[in-house]
Amino acid sequence: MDSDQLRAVGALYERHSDAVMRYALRRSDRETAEEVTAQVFLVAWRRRSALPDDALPWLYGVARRALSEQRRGAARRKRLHERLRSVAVEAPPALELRDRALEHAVMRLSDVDREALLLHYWEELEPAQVAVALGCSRATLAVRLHRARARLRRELEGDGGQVGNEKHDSSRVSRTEPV
Amino acid sequence: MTTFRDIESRLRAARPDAEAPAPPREVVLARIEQASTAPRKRRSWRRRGVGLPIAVGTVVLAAASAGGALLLAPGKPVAPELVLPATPETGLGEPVGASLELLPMRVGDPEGGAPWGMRVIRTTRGLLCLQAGRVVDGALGGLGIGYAFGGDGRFHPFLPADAIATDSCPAVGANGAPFLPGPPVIVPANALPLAGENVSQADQNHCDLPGQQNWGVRCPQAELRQVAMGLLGREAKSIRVTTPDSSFTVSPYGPDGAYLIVLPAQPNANASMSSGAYEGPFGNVSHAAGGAVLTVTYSDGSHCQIPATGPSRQCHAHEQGSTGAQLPSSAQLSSAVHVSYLPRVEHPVAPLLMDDAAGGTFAGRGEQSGEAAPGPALTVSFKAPVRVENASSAYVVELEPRPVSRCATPAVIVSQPTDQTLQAGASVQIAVSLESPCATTYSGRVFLASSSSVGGESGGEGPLYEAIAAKFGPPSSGQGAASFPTVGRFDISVP
Repeated sequence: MDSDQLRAVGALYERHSDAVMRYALRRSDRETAEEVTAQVFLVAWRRRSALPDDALPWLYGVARRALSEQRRGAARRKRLHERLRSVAVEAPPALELRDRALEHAVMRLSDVDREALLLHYWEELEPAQVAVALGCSRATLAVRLHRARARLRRELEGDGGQVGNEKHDSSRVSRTEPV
Repeated sequence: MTTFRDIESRLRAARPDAEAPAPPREVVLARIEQASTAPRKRRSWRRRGVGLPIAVGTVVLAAASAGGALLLAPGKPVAPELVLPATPETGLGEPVGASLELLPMRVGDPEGGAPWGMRVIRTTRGLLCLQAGRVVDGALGGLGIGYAFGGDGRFHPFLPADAIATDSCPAVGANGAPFLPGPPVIVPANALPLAGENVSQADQNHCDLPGQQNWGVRCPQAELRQVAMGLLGREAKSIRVTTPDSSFTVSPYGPDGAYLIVLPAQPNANASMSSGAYEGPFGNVSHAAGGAVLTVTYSDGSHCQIPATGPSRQCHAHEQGSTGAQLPSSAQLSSAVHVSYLPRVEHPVAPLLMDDAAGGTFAGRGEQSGEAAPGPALTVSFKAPVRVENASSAYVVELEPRPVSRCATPAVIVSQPTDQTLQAGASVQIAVSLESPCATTYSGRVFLASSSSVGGESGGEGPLYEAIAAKFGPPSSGQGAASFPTVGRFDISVP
């Protein structure tokens, strides 16, 4: 790698690494967040020719997938253990919020709806940037955000603020089924 | 009445603090520099489903290239999208390019066109990986149909590196025979189940495979297939494929008992949910209810099922001498083991297994992303008595705490296996998180675990994990759980 390339990726890291770290840290533990942050910039370097000028949303998109992979690894380990005992397995928690009713409601959103909301309200991306991070059109993103907020409101009102209400929308809940 | 403004305020207020610094710039740049000079890379995000070792197929066509394939113009290769630094001596290892082989079997697609095929590639850590796709001019790849590549109608070859995926790399045992009974899964006809990630960032033609919820548009049923592929070994004689509507029999191919089966997706597969443990954006997209069942018959007359409806029906390797035959004895392995107690470790790796006295999972401090909560740990050190040269063997620590009245302790704790190639005499250190704060005595041992051609639905960690779990799980969980030789034993009292 020549020195110009190294300087360029170094500058990118200086500009965005803290934001990517914060993004990952809000969704995982510190060690995972550090690993994900490093992976994101490795990918950015490998795909430097595809980097958009506004790189941060693109980096969030990569971080999102890196976190998914990390969670899948943990889930596979758990599944391996639990499968030996014929116990159904649930996904590991991705968020832990002090507002447990909100956490419960947010976790019942589909992954992409949840991510759309959090990128907008936590990472403070504009809708057009969220669309880049999620790889969808602006129009699609607008629909997603609206739908996510509406679902969140329904979930919060339906639960009455209580945690643990098991009212499930079967179209959005992962379940164990034989093939 | 909750307003959108209330929700927005609540969401913003709930934003967790995230004040930890990013890794040092120099550390990350060093990794990038190292990666830039590495000869090979391993993809991290894979086309799950096609990469999965699976089972069945309709008709195994003659070898050699099939017609139809030649009608497709070539398009750009399916580039590995997101890759990690090459690690030839850790994890799965790197692919050995010269070992890449497209098997001559061809399976027709229900709607015609380029046939399906599968290829194998070996890794530097002794694994053999499988990958299925469409075959054109002797190359394996995906088609630009449906959402992929903007529906350009071209053939897009897979690169050699794409053949590595943790779910499709069975171990190769001491006798050289791989084994992997892959179940039927749902994949798109274009053979690019994760094209939304890999090739369609610029497309607006996304649709969701079963279990995916990325775009809110279900893939058309006609664009989905049930595909199964795997390796059953030379003793497998036939595979009976049963669907709700029909059944037929196919013969495994070649000395490894390879099979590849392609069927139309079962009704409503495009609306079925995933059976995966994690419903991520590119998570386990492949399973759906009502799929085909494969019944395998071996030369000794025994049968097994894929997927199995119970532990007694699971498929296991039938190769002679395939289970632990090459393990050295404990006398050959004897090595001094040193152990020390650490009262608090901030980021300990979660143990592989931790059972209570009844054989269930001990309710410990919990874990996330493979990391246990902060707490006490033991560090176990020793010199590797023998070389660990592949992903099918590893050193592991087993702990048995002495029970303490009025203080819950697990019955057994098993560490994560070492995950790298080790030379004989190399210093090895394994940290084991202790789940109980109780003062007690731990009796422990270091053992050499090995998995020889006993793959299966091994998840991301490979058959070795399955073999270890089978040893410590309940009797119904494993068939012929291996007895792993001991390297050394120790006792330690902790405050």
